[in-house]
Parts: sequence; C-alpha cells; structure tokens
Amino acid sequence: MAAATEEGEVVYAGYISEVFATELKAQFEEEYPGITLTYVAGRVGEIQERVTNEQRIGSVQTDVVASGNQYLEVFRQAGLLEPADLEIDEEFTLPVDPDGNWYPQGYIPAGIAVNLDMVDADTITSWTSLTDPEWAGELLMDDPTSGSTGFGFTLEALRSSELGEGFIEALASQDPTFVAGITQPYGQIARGEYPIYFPALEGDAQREKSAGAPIEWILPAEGAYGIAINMGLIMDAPHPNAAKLLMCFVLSEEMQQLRQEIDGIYPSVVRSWAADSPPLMAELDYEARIEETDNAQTINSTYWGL
Amino acid sequence: MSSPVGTVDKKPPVAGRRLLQGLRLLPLAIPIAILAVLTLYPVLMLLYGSVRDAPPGGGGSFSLDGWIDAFSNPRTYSTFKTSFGLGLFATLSSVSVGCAMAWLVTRTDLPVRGFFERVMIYAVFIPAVVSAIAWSVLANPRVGVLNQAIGGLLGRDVQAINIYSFWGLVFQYTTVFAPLVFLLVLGPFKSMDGSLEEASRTCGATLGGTARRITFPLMGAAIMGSAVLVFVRVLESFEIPQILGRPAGIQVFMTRIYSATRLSVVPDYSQATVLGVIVLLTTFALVGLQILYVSRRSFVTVGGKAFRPSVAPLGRWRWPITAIVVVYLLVTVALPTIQIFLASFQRVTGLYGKDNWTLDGWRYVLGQEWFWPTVLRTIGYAALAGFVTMVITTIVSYVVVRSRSRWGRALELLTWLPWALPGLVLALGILWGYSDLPGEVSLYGTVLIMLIAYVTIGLPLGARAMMGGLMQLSPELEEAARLHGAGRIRAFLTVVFPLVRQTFFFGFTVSFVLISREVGASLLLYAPGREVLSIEILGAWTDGQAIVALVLSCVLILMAALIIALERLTAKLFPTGLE
Repeated sequence: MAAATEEGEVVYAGYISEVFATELKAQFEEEYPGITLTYVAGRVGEIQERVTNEQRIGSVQTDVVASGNQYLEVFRQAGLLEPADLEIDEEFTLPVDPDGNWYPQGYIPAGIAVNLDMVDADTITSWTSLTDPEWAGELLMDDPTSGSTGFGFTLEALRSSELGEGFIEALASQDPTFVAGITQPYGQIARGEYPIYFPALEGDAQREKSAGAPIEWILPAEGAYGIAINMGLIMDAPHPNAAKLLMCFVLSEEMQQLRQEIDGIYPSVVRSWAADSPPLMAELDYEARIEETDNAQTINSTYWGL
Repeated sequence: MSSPVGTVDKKPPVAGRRLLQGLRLLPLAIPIAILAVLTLYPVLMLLYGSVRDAPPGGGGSFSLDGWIDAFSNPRTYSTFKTSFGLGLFATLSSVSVGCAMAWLVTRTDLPVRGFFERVMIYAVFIPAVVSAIAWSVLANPRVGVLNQAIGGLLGRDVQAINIYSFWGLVFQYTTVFAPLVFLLVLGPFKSMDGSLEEASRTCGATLGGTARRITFPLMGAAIMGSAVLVFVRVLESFEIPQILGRPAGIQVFMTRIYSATRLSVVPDYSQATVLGVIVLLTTFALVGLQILYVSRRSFVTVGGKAFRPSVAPLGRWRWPITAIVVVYLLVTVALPTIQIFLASFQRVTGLYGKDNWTLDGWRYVLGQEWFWPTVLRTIGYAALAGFVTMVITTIVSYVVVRSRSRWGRALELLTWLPWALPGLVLALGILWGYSDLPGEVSLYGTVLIMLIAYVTIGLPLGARAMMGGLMQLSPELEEAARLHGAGRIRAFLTVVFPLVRQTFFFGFTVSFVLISREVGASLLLYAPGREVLSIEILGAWTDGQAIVALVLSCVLILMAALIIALERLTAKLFPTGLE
C-alpha cells in the first residue's frame, strides 16, 4: 500500500466505457488518496500497438491492460505481461490464467436485438429463429471482417454442439447485411432500417431501450455469445504496486456491481446477486480461439463469402 | 561598381564565395531537408515493413509473404476495380462540381456569390464520418428521411434513393470532395487576370466558350492538382466505405487494410503495407502524369501589371443557375449539417418523436472536466502544426515552382508522400520511425511526436494550396526586385509573399481544420491525459454514446466556422498585394 502510494499513479489501457471509467477513477482515487488513475480507452489493435511499442523502445507507460477474450493470452505469449499474483481469494466464473498473468473482469453477453415495431419478440427465441425464411434479407449482422463480435460469434457457433456448421450455413443463406461498429447498428434498428441485429451486446441494447428506442434484447435459448473482458499487468510496468491495487479494486464487489449496472457487464467472480448471469452458448476456449483466428480470412471466405 | 586600378580585389576567394552562397541558401535548405525527413522516413520504414514478417524493430526476417498473399488473392483484383472505379467517378464529379462552383463565384455575376463561397468553404470542414452518418439517416433505402418524403409526395412507399450503393458512395464522395476542389482552385481562379477572358468575349466568344477555351485551360495546373488529390483521397478514405459501403458488400483498399490490421490475432502489417504500397505506386504514377502535364505548359496569370478579375454576365441563365446552386448547397451542405445538429439533441439518432428530444448530450459534454482542456489542446496543436506546415510548404513550393530541375520535381513528389499512404499505415510509420531514434532517444508519448505527425499529414494540402498560388506569379515580379538590389530572401518576403499571403492564410485554415479532426495518427500517438477532440469523438462513438460523439462533432464544426470567419477577417485586414 505504501509502495503504491509512493508510485502515485496508475495507467489503465484497453476496454472500458467512458461512464464506468469516470466512476472507477473517482472511486479509486477516493479510496486510495495520492494515487491518480489515468485511462486510455481503445480497441485491442490500438492497445496492442501501443504496449508492444512501449516494450520495444523500453519506455513503458502503461501499467494495466484490458481486452476481450483471447487477447490477454496472446499478450502473455508475446511476453507483454508479468504475473500479478493478486492477493485475492475469489472463485471465478470465467477462465483465469493459472500463473496469474491475467484475470477476468467480467463478461458481456451478446444476443439478438429486435425492433418491437417490426418484430413480435416472442417469435425470436433462439439463434436458429434467425434462419426462418421470413427474415431472409432482413438481418443486420456485425461485420465478421472487423475483428469484433461478428467473427467471434461465428467461431463460437461453429464450436457449439447445438448450432454448428449447418446453422452458420443456413444463416449465411439468409444473406445478412454487414455493419461495422458498435453505435451504428442500434440506431439502424431503432429507426427501423432493419428489424433484427445480431450479435447484439445486452448493455448497448438496454441503453438504447432506456433512451426510448423500440428495441428489445433477447437471450437466445442456446445461450449468449460471451465476450469476457480480461486484464493483466504489463511487463516492467512503471507502477506495479498501484496497478495491483487497481486490479483488486476492479474485482471488488462494489465495482463489479456498479459495472453491471452501468454497462451490463456480468461479474467474473461468484456472487450471490449475480446468479442470473446469462448462460453462454459455448465454453470459452482461448487456445482454440487463437488458432481459429489465425485462419480468419479462410473462415470468413468459406462461410460468409467475404 | 568596378575597383579602381591598382587596388586589391576584396572579393572573397572561390571557396569562401561558395560558403557564403551556401549560407544564404541555408534558410531554404533547412525546410527542404525537414520535408525530406518528414515524408521519406516513415514511408521508407513502411516499405521495409512490407518485406518483413514483423514490424520494424520487432525482430522478424525478410519475407515476401505479404506481397504473395496480396497478389494471389482474387479479392485484391476486385478491390482494385471497385476502388479505382470509385476514385474515377468521384474525381470526375467532384472536380466538375468544385470547379463549376469556383468559376461561378469568382468569374460571373452570380448573386450573393460571397455567401455561396463561404458556404462551400464551410462544407470542407464537415467531418467525413459525421457526413456519412447523416446521409445514412437521410438516404437509407428503407426508412431514409428523403425516401419517406418522396414516398409521402407520391402516396406510396418508395426506395428511390439508396446511399448504400456504388453510386451512393460516388454521391457522398462528391459532397465531401467537391468543396475541397473548390477550396484549392478558388485562389487561382480569383487571382487570374481577366484581360484574356475579356479579349475572348470582345472577339465574340460566348460565356461558355470563353470558360472552355480560356478560363479552364489556364486553371489547368490547379485543376489537375486537385483532381489527383481527390483521386488519392478517395483511395485512402476509410469512414465513408466502412459506413456506407459495407452494407452493400463494397470492399475497398482501406476496408481491407483495416481488416488486415484488426482481424488477425497478430496484426498483419505486411499485408496492410503491401496494399498501402499499391496505393503509393498509383499516386506516384498520377502525380508523375500531372507533373508532365504542368511542365509542358505555362499557367502564369499574374504578371507585373495591375489586374482585376473579370466578371462575366450570366445573362438569362443567372437565375436558373442560382436556383441550381441553392438546391445543391441545401442538399449537400445544409441538410447534413441540420441533421447533425438535430441529432445532437436526440436521445436516439434519427427518431423524430416528441419524447426523443433532450439537452442531456450538451449538458453532459459541457459538464465534463476534460472538455475545455481538450478543446484548447486541439486548437493549440492544430494552430502550431498548421503554422509550421505552411512555413515549410511555402518555402518548398517556392523552390518547386521556380526550379525547373529534376530536384524540384522530386521535391514536389515528396510533398505528396504523406497522402499516398493510408492514414492508419502512415501513423504506424511515424510511430515506428520516431519512437526509437539513434542514441536511445524516443519521442514516444511526447507532444512533439504528435506535432511531427500533424505537420506531415498537413503537408500535401498546404503544398497544393501554395503551389497553385505561386504557379500563377510571373518570375518577372521578383526579378524586378532583384534587379533593384534585393537578395533572394528579401525579394521573396517583400514581393512574393505579400502576393500569396491570402493563400498562406487559406492554407493555414485548411491545415488547421484537417489537423483538428485527424484520427489515425492521434489514436496511436497521443499520451494518456493529452487527448484531442477527434479521439474523444471516436471514443464516444465506439463506446455507443452517439449523442456525445455528435455533440463533440458539432463543437468541431463550430470551431471550423470560427476559423473560417477569422480567415475572412484576415483576408480583409491584410489583402493580397504589395504595400
């Protein structure tokens, strides 16, 4: 604690929403006076470029890095992380690195978003509902070539025992329209450009709904496509003690609960109040994901004709 | 004056004279050397990167895999076809519209042309991403506002306009780039001596005939320069094809580069740089053609005599043309601007129900601690980098225009380099290039690396503006000054610069706005706590906070409007001409 206060600063880079980051900063700095939290929100590509470059030139500025699913494992394999060995006694609901290189912060479930003026929400109950001929040409899907949820969803569906290759082929034959980005598709659904968007993040769909959009988020019967957010300590981080304090703080009950309220990110640690976490359509297997992502172009070309 | 017989000749020895000449040329040599470093260094780093299997400095070995992968993939050829098709049609339409507007506001008696001019200049500064979003709301085929309006008039559902299509993209590019062409050719159109046109009309040529045979051929250099620029900008644009092209399944170079760097677990930079190098070679070929065209003709339109621009009467076409201009500006400038400002008050973008209006977005943004520091930082960086850009490009352009040697042409080619590579890829080159300098010096995380990036990115536009202006100045003006004893630098400062001062401020304004909304380099290079507005906009947009992104975009647009007003004021206070 004293060492952390002496460091006086901690830099967090990676996945974080602006609203949660503002809250986290305020509460962390109140809990630990004398330590300033600076955050750099960004997608994995930019963050990877940033931390790789810092390591290469020996001018490390980032302490804690956070990203989705397999990327922290990729960072570990690239020698960008060092074990944080957090002194916590938690049971995790998500995969955790046995050597303490990365820890799960929580997960975002992705399902189906529908425009209630155009779709009877009761008719869409599962992922396979999307293959109904009624929705041919009517589906909006996250662009699988953007390296975000559309591609991850394809991989998980292919691995899922309930869905598999036949489902993806049937979905592709519906000729979905691809859209890139997080903000654009919800606006398109809200305005009625398309009736259905997938894979839709629950938190984003709920935010649009609270703003008054005629949107409903549906958890498919086969389970949600899950995006786990993991975090790790950067190798030779300039403020390692403050970084560990921050990581423990993010895993604290208050922050886990707050994040679920703000962003719809479900906790990574077992809590009684989190019992209703949506089930996932397939187990998170980062090793398999790393291997499959290397064949991204072949997979996109085979199934989506991209 | 000759030396009297018998006195010692006080001329310095030959070596000393050369040294003196060298020292006199130093002020010119320094910016040129800076230009060479700014443009060549990151590009060379990238060319090197295209034949490595790891980023420079990241180990790896020689590999042609990127090249083999790119050319063995049939999609590369279809991407060529689409990208070049878009480039060609968008350039043709943008140049036609931009030049026609410049001609109308500078050489004809079009009513309220001063106002039209300001509207066109303002249009340059609408960020492409915001314009694309506005058009996706206005002209999507299913529920687009325009389609609904047309449907309402016809009494049935129609899908008359589809922005998610090849021609939709050409239209969108035209709305974005026609104002840029207008901006670049405006100065040359304004400063063209009208006596030739008047002579043409006196000899009985019609208004159109004079424009076709005299005005536009004289504007050849500026028009060709802007055409090449638009073509390259279309090839390297990302936001428009990503937002409007992807729903139609349209893939261009930039969306493929984005996939290569963002989809793989390990970003495929060699693939990205190979595609970037293809764009680079295309640019070189086009610029080569342009230089060839320019070097074979004279475009001098400003001589030593006083001149006044001629104003041709539009006659019976005056009001029909005015109506067309008004409709064009309403559709391409007013409509998206109104859409953006309205959307900044909408809880859900594009819904017009009475419960959907809110001030929350503006309240939230203005209440954030980071807001004003970020605005001031953005203005500071853009002003400083914009000024440095214009100083470098003024000197370089002068050397290029006055030198007919191959070095001059090489220099001109150098000024194109930063735009010959996609912003994202160039940013990587800058990151790799300046993070690890000899002697363990690193500019990473400093303000300086951002300023270097901004100046580099501002060079092509600054150079185009200055070259267009300088090319029209006859050398006789500064020759006269030199005959009267002025040195080269004094002749430049007292004769040349006052004549291009307006172009300089103009170039500064454009550079300022271009830099203030730059995303690619800022994203990779900014240090935590030193965010600029474009970063905040992107952050809010990718965070799902559309309203925050839209409010910040409005702030950027207001900033642009302010700087245009300042530029107008400067032009009035310091008019072009010799004192």
